[in-house]
Amino acid sequence: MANRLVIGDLDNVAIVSDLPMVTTYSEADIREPDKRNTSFSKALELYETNEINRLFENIFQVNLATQTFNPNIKTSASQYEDEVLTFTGYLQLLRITIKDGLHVYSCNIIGETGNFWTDISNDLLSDLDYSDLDHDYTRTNIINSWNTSIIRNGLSEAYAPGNGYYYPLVNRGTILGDESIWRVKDFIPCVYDYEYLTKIFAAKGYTFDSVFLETEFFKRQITYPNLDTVTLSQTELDNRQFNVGRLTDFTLFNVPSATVSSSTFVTIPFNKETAPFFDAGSNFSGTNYVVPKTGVYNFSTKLRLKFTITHTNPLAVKSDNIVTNSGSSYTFINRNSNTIAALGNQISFVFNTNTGLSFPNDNFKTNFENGTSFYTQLEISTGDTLVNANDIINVKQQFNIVLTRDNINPIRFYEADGTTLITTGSINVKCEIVSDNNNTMFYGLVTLTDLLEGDTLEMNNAIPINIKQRDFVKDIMKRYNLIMQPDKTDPKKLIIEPYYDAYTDLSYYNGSIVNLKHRIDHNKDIVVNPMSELDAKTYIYKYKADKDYWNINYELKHAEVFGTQEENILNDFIQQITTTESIYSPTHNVANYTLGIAYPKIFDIDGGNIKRITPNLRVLYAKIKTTTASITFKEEGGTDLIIQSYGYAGHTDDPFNPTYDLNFGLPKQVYYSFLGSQFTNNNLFNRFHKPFIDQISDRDSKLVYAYLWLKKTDIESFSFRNKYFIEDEILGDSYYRINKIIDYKNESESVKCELLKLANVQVFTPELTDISDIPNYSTERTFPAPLVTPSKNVNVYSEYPVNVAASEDIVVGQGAKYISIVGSNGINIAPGVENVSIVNSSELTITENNITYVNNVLVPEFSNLYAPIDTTSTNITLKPNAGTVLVDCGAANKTITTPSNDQCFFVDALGKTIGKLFTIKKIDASAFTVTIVPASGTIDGAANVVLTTQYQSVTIQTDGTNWYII
Amino acid sequence: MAITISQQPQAFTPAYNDQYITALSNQLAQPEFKYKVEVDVTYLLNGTPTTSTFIYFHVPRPDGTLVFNAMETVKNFINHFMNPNDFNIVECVNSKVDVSIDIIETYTGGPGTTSTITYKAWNASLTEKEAHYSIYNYGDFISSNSEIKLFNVGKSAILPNNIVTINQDVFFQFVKPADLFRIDYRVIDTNGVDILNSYSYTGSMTTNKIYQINASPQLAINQSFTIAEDYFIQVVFLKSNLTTVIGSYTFKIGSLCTKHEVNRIYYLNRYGGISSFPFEMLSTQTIDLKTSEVSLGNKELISGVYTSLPYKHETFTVSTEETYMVNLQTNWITAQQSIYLEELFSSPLKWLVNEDADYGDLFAYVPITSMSKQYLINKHENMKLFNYGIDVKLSIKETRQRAL
Repeated sequence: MANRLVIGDLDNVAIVSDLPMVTTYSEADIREPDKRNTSFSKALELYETNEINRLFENIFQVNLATQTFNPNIKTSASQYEDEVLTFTGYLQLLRITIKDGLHVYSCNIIGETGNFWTDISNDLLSDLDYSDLDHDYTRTNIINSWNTSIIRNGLSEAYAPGNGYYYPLVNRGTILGDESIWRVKDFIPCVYDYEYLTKIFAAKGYTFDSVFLETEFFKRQITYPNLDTVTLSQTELDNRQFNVGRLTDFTLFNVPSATVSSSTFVTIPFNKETAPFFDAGSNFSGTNYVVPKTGVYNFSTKLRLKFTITHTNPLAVKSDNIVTNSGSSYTFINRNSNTIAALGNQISFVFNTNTGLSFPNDNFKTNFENGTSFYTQLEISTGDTLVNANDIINVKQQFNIVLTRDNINPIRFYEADGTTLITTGSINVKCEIVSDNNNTMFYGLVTLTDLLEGDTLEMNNAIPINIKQRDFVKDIMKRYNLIMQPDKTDPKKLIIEPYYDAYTDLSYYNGSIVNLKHRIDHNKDIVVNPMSELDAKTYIYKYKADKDYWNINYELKHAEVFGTQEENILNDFIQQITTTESIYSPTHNVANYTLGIAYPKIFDIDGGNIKRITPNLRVLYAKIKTTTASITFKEEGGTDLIIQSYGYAGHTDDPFNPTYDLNFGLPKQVYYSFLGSQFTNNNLFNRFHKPFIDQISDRDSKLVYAYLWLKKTDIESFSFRNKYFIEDEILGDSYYRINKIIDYKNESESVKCELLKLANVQVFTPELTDISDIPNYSTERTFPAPLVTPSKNVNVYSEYPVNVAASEDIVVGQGAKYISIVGSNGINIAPGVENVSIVNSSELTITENNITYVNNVLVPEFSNLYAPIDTTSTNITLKPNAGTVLVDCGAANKTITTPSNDQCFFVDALGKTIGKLFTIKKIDASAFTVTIVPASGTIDGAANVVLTTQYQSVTIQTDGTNWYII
Repeated sequence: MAITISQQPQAFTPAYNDQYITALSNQLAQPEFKYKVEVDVTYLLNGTPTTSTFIYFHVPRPDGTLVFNAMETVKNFINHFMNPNDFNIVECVNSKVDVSIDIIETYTGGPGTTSTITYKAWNASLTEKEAHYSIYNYGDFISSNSEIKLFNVGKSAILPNNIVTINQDVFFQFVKPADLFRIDYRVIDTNGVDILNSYSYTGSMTTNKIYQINASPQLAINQSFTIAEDYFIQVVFLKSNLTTVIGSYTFKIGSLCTKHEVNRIYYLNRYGGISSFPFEMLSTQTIDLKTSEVSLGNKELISGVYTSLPYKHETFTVSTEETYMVNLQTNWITAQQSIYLEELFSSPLKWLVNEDADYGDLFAYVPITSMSKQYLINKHENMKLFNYGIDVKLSIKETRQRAL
């Protein structure tokens, strides 16, 4: 037999002839491809030839710096037996032994399947580039992804399952109330598993050939990422954020006086954008930053101020102390001319070179020098602030200060003797903003990096994190019991099919039928093992547990993860449990009876409040569905769209009348119940795993070890996929799969093979079960949650407490209860709500007044029942949110002043004046009095009301002009 | 900055002998000083001159010197060449490669100076006695304008007994000197005087490359020259003036007086050429057969009567592997001739040709391996003549129909 091993590529090739090659094929390698790494691995020794030395670049020479050959990188290798290709893979150089003057290269040659797993190595899903799928995060693109089109490379591409991305309707804790109102921000994109596979294979130069992976069943599967939300990319952030400074000092004022008074604000220009400053998006110009995208930012400024004081008389050498704490100054950060951050009266300095003496001290003189400068630092930030695109943000400064020697009297200057008062000339004060990279700047940083509607969604930011490609591919193989082998003629093309898909009768083993007649070598032992490959008594197939409410709830009730299948085998001799666990987690469909849909909800409930979670991966079947209810899909700045079709994705293809279920086993509980809805047993276990279990647990299954005479052409055309017909007078004639070929040398010797007798398999016919027949079916409702703040476009519909803060455009839906809204605007209250309070908020549309509000809104019956109660022993001015005030006079009369009248009433939508009630009560027994003074107007026509005796009280209310005792 | 080279290979150097370079830099005090040795070997890859580079970094020896042997690198590019079917001038591809070695001072802030050494290495593995640096002179092996040097055991002689048989190949391999203009092949009469026919080998040559010509009597037959036993064949190397002969080799056409089949072994000699040696005495051949008996079903019998029921097993021999061993005997040879045999014995490449054309009608070159592990050299003055036998194994495979 002539065989040769061809090592290397292109010009760098070595051919080794007549090696004592031994080839082993093992089915076990294929079943656990990543564990064994290969379908073939063999150590061999190569004796040096000039070609081999050249190939390995004389690597045995210790001083050599290799130029091409890298022992850490695989070298291709192919084995030919009589010019018949019997092996393709790669070679790994392990060591060189110098033996009898010859160099012997010890190598491993490894099959191509191992090559694939080695190639993807520990690469992550997120290491691949998905930028071709970048698109605008808009309602149109979301809806289009359901069944119309996707965006690839900036162009619209017709919708096809498996192609690109899909926006499933999944409530991840963002749809908090009325689930019939959706917004763009409620959706995150999911990439099809087929798209992932294609990219993984293509990145390493592989393709796959698979009937199964091309089915609609697989192509409709998407991976819901282990992300809470999709964030802006660094590029997006860079294009929004800025930090600008000053190239030169900027003069704020320069006046011939110690009094600086300005009624106008100076808008401060910043003109330095080079490092350490930046403005990649060129959004800052002159004095203004124009907000490029709506979002939550923090704007801050630092200003280093320099005050220079000069006296026009050159004889002026000394002065009194110089202080600035007389007067005022303001630094503002403005948004569209409205102040969003203010800093007042922070400019002060004291020029006093002789400490130890305090003001006033006319006898003390400083060593003033003409032109002396004083510095002070101003810093101000807005904190998290929601701003809109095209808002203008800038920094303004105002001064109203007087330099004095003691906060009262003007500064006096003296000649060098310290006693001769300067009487001629004048003082000049100049204030500059100093160019200082560390202390003068204006910057704005995005503090909420969530993607917002209209932003460019960079798909690389929507990919599951820390998921290895190896685990992703392996999990698909595990879920569907797939087998992977390289194509004989193209090692870069991997054939992938299920062991057996009982639903479609598709199998990896649907290969050719090969007649191996007369091939058993009867001179050698034949061993027959009953029960073949059975290695466990219990086989468990399950998804990974996750921490969303429904998964936790299900697991607590049923002591197993949703969708688990446990299969027990009748066997008295084996006790092991074999568990197949996916890296994915199961996903529950949860009912919304109003909309007539059941869809995934992935969030937790903590103390009655919704708690957003970062979920584990989910595999979902994506297919557009239709409901008879109307769904409002809102668009920022656009008109509402009423739709009835929605992007369903769940563990079944249809929650009510499913054909497929991506769970392994039947559920023991579901969270919806619609009349006539059904459930299928066409799940992963019955389709893909049960045939395998049946095969290996069959009491009549046989595993046969026999020596076969195999020709090199048999090896060349060998495939685990084939069915081999082997006849034998003792064993009987039967079809087998060849599980292993152990140590094939050449066709002159028979080779030991492991043969698995093929059992009859049954095509699986799924059955449907009424949902109501599933034990413990449940219609449990969702619980509400607090809202992450600040936010925009919030729907609130809940029977449980929800808190909303610092947000915009809030809809409180009908039936909502116990809603608290603070510091927000753009609030729309539907009728039929209960116990809704709105504090420090504006832009209200209130359909029904059964609510409480402060500042602008009150709920009278609520305030009648409850009110704040405080005790005071000092003179105070009541705050608008005060209720009852208990006054302890102590050792003096006390005066209680009402809040400003206009803070204590409003006119409601019906034109009715609503006034705030205050109750003041004297609680001490002394003779001292409590006088209640109105901020303006009178109380019952008098200038005040006086309480003189213990426990005397008065309740007053204003109509906006005067106050009245109630 | 300077590098002093104190030892280096000569302009032509045997590739399989040491190619030491000794160098000393005066920059040893530089931080992180190392000698970088860059070996460029230019050879023909698929007909295209190609340079392969090997880079070594050497820390100076304790005395500061660099001692570098390029042999391990250079020899990898050397090929053996033999083409019995071509009677023209053919280049012995990669029997010679061009070597250029840069020695570069490297150190922090470097590199420093570079010294370059160039030479040619050819497919030779000289004895220690021949290649010792104190006596090695490449002019002893490489042709010059005044003398052709053949890569043969005898350097000037070409055959051990100066007799060539009709079917024998006679390989001349040599370096082309600058002034080699023509090579003539002549048939000379039995007196060794008159040139009956002459033929000039065709093919262009480039100076310093290695070429092969085959002076077999078959060339004369191809040229329709009349030849007969006792005629002479003469190969003459002429300079450009066409009168100055720088090499002339004459051998007699004859038959080997034997009652046995003539076996001739061609082999690669240590100078890079192909020599041959005849074995004229009784040779024997042993065939080892490796068989396997297996039981197979008999249902393939097309006609006749089954000895047993159909589908029962019967035993057949399904696999054979034949191994051929040959014992070869020389005629009586002299001690002088025995050096050819000695060369043959240790040669890594050997081919057996049966001049009675056992293998079809072809004079096939059958690769063989020598099974004899010892070679006896007879030094006794009284034993001027002796014969010798060796065992060789043929690297051929014979197959039979398979029952599978």
